[in-house]
Amino acid sequence: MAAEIDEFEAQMQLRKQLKIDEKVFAELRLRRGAYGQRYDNGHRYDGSRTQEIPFPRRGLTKGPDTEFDAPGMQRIKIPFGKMSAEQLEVLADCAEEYSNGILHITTRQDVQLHFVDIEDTPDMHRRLGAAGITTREACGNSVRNVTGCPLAGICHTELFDISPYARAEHLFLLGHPDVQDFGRKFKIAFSGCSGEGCGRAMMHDLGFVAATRVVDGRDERGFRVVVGGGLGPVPHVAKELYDFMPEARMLPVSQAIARVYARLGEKRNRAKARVKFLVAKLGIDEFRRLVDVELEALEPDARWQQWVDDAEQSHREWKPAPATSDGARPAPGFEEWTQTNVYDQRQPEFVAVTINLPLGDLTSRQARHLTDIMRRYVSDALRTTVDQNLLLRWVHRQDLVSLYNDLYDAKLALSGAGTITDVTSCPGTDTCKLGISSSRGLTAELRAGLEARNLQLDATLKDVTIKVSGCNNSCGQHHIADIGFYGSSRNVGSYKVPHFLLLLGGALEDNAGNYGLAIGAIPSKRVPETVDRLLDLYSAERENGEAFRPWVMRVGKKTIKGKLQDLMVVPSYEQDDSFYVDWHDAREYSIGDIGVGECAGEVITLTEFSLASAESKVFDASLIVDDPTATRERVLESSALAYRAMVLAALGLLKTKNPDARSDPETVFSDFERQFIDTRLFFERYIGNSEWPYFQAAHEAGGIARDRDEARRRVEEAQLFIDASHACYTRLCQAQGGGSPVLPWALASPN
Amino acid sequence: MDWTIEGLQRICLKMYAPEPGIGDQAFVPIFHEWIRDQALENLVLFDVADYAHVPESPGIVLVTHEASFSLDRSDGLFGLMAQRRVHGSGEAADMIATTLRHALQVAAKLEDDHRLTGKLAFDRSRVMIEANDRLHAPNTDEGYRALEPVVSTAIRAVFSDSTPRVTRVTNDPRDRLAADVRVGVTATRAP
Repeated sequence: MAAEIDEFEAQMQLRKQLKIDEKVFAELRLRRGAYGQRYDNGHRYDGSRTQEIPFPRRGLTKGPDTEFDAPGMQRIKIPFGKMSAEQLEVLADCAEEYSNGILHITTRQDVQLHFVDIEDTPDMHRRLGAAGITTREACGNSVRNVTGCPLAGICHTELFDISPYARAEHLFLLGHPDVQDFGRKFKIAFSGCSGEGCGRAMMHDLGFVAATRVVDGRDERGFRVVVGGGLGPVPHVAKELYDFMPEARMLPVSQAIARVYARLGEKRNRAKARVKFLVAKLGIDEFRRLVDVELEALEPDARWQQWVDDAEQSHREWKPAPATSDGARPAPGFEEWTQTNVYDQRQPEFVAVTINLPLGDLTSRQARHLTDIMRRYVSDALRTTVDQNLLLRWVHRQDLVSLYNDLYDAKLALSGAGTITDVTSCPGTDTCKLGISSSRGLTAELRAGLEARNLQLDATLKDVTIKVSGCNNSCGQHHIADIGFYGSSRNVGSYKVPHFLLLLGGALEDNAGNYGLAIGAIPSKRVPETVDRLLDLYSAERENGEAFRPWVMRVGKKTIKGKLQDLMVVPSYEQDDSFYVDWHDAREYSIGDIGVGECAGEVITLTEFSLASAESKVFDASLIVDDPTATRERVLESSALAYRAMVLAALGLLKTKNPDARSDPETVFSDFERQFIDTRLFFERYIGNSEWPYFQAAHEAGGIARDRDEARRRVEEAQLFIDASHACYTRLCQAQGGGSPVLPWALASPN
Repeated sequence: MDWTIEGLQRICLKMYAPEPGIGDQAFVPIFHEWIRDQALENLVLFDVADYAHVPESPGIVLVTHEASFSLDRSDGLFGLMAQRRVHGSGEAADMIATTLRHALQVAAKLEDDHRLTGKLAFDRSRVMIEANDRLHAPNTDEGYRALEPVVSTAIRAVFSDSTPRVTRVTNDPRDRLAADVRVGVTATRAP
C-alpha cells in the first residue's frame, strides 16, 4: 500500500508539471478515492451571474474542467461498515487536519471528508493505511465499498453472519486485475436474510443473500446470488443468477462475473455502462451462461478458499463483560431513546445501539469521544450503517444506562433512529457537482419539522421512511423509501425554481426490492407541507393497520396526486420570491451554476405546454406499470405512452425553433436528432448524451415493450428524458439571456 | 525528534464572543454576499458550508482557498474559528500571523454588518491557537516548547504593542496541541 501511495504522490507531482494528461490523472486520483467537489470547475453562480473563482494556479487542472487548487472530497472505504476504535480515531484526526472536522457517513457505509486539498491526500492516505483503512477504488470504475447488513452476527432473522464473507470479498477483489477494466463502478452487498432491507442486496450490481441447504444431513452455507440491480436514473431490481451457490464458490463466481462485465460491458456510453444494462441486454440466462463459461475457464486460485477461511478466523467479535454495575441514573430522554435506538440482539444479554447522526454527520471531537465509549463498553464493535448512522454492537444490557449517559454527554444520544425523523440524504448541492437541488437543506428542514411533531414516537407514522437525493442519481436511495424525493428544476415564467420529484411506494423489505415511482414535481419550498399532507392522508385513510406502501397501492397514485395538486403550483416571483431560492441558500436559484438573467413577461411557451403534456403522459404510464392488477396488454400499453411522452418532450424543444414543427413521431425523432443531437444542444456539459439513447431505444422499438420489466424501465427512462428536456430548455433560455426564450410565438399565460 | 515546528503550516485559531442570540442561518446570506463581492482582502472566497444541524460543530462555514472561517461551537463556546487550509511558503509564525490577520478581518466585517449590528462582539484579548498538524506539532511537552515561541512571535507581529501571555491548553493528548493567548489589547478592533 505504501508503494502505491508513493506512486500516487509522484503522479501528482508529474501532473503539476503537466507530464501526465489530466484525464489520466483524474482516473488515478478517483481510484484513490479523491473525488471532485462542487465549484471545482472554477466557476460559481453568485445569485445574479456566474463568476470565475480566482484560484491562484488557475488553469492547472487535476482532471477535465477541474481546477487543481479547488478542494475535493475524499471517500474512504469502510468494508461492511466495520470500524475499530483506533480506526475511528485516525479518521477523526484526518477530518480535523485535512477537512473541516466533520465526518460524513454515506448510504454505502463509507466515510467522506469534504474540502480536502489534493496535495494533502498522500499524507492522509498513509495515515489511514497505517490504521488498516484503504481509499483504494473508493471511486472510479472499479469495485466500490463492499457493504453488508450492520446487524450481521446479532440479528434475529439472519441465517448466518455474512461479515467474514463480505470481508473476504473486499480483500479478494481489492486491486484484483479482473476488476480494473470496467466501464463503470461496481457495487456489491451482502445480506444475512431475504426478507429485511438492511443489506439492500436487490439494488446492487452484485448481491449475496445468505442461504443454506441440507446436504447429506448437514447444513451447507451458501448464497442466493443476484446481479444487475441498481438505483440511479434508471433503477433495476437485481435478477437471480443462482438460487444457491456454496460459500466456497463465492470468490470465483465474483471473479467470473467481473470478467464478463469487463469484457462485454459498455465502455463508451457511461449512461449505459453499469452491469444492470448488460444483464438487461443479454437476459439473465445468457448472462449466467457466460459466467458459467468463465468459471470453467478460470485458473484455480488458492485464495478462493483461503480468504474465506482466514476471514472467518479473523472475525471473532469480543463479547464483553459488563463495564458497569447497576444503579446509574439515566440522563433525560433515556426512555424515548430506548424505544427507537436500541435493538435486542439475538444474544439475550446484549443489545445494539444506533447513534442517530443528523444528515450522517459527526464532528471529530464527537468521534474521539465515541472511541472512549467504544473502549469502555464494546471494544471495536462499531459499524457504519446504510442509513448514515453508527451502530454500537455487543452492549451489555447492564451497561445501557451508563452508555446512554456517556452518549448524552457526547451529544450523540439523539433518539428516533430508523424512524420517520431519521431522513437520509445525499450531499446534493452542498458539495456534489451533480446536485440539482439542496437535498441536505431540505432534509434538515424535514427532520426539524417531523421532530417538532414528535413523530418518531407516533405509532402510526414512525415507521414511514423518507429519503432524499439531490438529483436522479439516487445516492440518497429515494427509490426505496415510502416517500422519496430527488432534485429537479423547473422553469416558471422567466425563472428557474428548485423542485423535488416525489416518489411513493418504495420499500426496504425484501432487500430493497421494490422501487417507488414518480408522482410529480413539487416546489422545494412546498416539500415539508407535502410530507405533512401525505402523512395526514395516510393517518386518516389507512385500514386495518396497513403500512404506507400498501396504502399507496390501494388508494392509487392518481388519487394521491389529485390531493397534492395545489402543492405543485409555484406562486409568481412577485407573490413569493422565497420559492426561487433553495433551502439553506441565499442566492436566486440556478442549475449548474450557470448565470441567469431575467426575461420580460409571464409567458407560457409552446415548449412548456408540450413538456407539461409529456409529464402528464408519463405519469399515466407510471400508474399502469405500478398497478399489480394491470393486464399484460395494459402494461405494454404503458410503454407506448412513455414513448409518446418522449415524443412530446422532444417536440416541445423543437418548437423553440419552429412553432409549426410537425408532430408525427417519425418526423419529431429525425428533426430532434438533426437539430438537438447532431448539434449537441441537448447534451449537458458534464453528463453528455445520457438521456438521448432512451428516446432512441424507445423509437427503435416503436414504443413497444417485451415485458413488464421493459415497460417499467421505459417509463423511468421517459421521465429522465423529460427531465433532460426541461434542463435543455433552461439552457436555451439562459443562452438567450433570460428565463423562457423571448419567442414571437410565446403564448400569454391564461392566468 | 522526527518533526520540526517550522514545518507547521496548518493552523486553527479561535476568537470568542458571547452567543449572538441569532439563528445560525443568519450568516448564510452574509457569506454568500461576501463571496459575490469577493469582499475580503487576500482571500479567494468560494463556498458556504452548513453544519448547523450538528451539535457543537463548525456551524456555518465560509470557505476560501486560503482558510475556512466558521461560527464555531466545537469546544462548547461560540466564536470565530479560522482554519488555514493551504500550504504557504513562510515559516510557522508567518502562517499563524497571516491566519490571525485574516480572522481579525472577518471578525470586523461581521461586526460591521448591518444585519448583525449589536449582536456580535469578538473578544480580541484572547485567541486560542491550535497546531492543526499532529505530524509537525505533536501534543507533547516537547511540542509545546517548540510552539510557544512561534506563537509569541506571531502575536507580536500582529499586535505590535502587546506582550502576549501564552499558556498551553490542557486537553486530551489525542487532541491537537493548543495554546491560549491573552493579549493586552481589548479595545483594538483592527491592529
